[in-house]
Amino acid sequence: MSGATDRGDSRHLMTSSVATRILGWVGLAAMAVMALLGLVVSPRDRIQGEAVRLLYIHVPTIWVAYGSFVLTAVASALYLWRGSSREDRGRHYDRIAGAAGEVAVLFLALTLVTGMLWGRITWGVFWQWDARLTTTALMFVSYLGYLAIRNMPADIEARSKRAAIAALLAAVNIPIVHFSVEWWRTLHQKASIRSDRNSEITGDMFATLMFSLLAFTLVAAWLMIHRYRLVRLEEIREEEGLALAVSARRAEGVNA
Amino acid sequence: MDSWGTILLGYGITFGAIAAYAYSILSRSRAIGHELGIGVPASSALPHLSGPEDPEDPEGSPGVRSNER
Repeated sequence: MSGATDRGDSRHLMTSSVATRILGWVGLAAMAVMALLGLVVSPRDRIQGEAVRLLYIHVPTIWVAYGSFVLTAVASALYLWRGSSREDRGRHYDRIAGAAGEVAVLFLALTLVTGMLWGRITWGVFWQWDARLTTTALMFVSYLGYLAIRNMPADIEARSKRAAIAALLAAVNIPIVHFSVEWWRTLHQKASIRSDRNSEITGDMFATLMFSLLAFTLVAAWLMIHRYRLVRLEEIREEEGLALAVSARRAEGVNA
Repeated sequence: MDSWGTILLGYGITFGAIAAYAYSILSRSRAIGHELGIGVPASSALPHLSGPEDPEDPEGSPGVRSNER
């Protein structure tokens, strides 16, 4: 019996653990500091003015979304490639893909919303059908489809296989979105931080952006771990329901 | 809407959405856990992320442990 239940404290049950509680509090503190840096400490930009403050949440959300989509793709590939040879039939990989995919969709939605708000201030409109915005919207819709497949009623292995294939197909769009500002003429600005030339963002603004990336990464990791464990709980509930149904059916047979 | 209003709206939506999602995960996991009477300690879900939690089980046995049955 778990000590958690002995203490009668439900916070120690379910998806929480010592490590995730520490991660959660550190992530929360980092987000508070990030808000302070982004809204108060960071200076206004010479060209963008105060709108630069939205970039401290816009850039980290797409950073987390990219990373999570890549994780979804890698876990999906591993599920298809190695899943059948594993003792758990690849459930571990499938759970990682599902958790990362859902977190990614949340952060991509926030990317679109914060980008639209930034565009309203800077361009004067919420939306333009330029290459970056259009490909990002397509990516959002394709991963909504991925989540829909994951939630379709079907045999768990068939569902996982379909979802893994969908994740790999959707991942094709990731480099297209990222390099769209290089490949086509777009209204969207090019990347501010690049490895092949000097960054266009420096000083306090650069430090704030880097800290924001860290804060959002910590929070996304916390969300993903908890979502992974929730997927596992959902699977257990599904299995328990099936086992109950089978035993009820057997009992009917004995009574008849 | 002036730029500060838009900026604060962006921060509010972002922080609010993340908090709402976190709450939904925690409440759903709590509901399912109570429904099943089980928990998924870190040792069984992602072993490398936490140490043993159960003083009677210092090794942190893998697998979902039954708590209330």
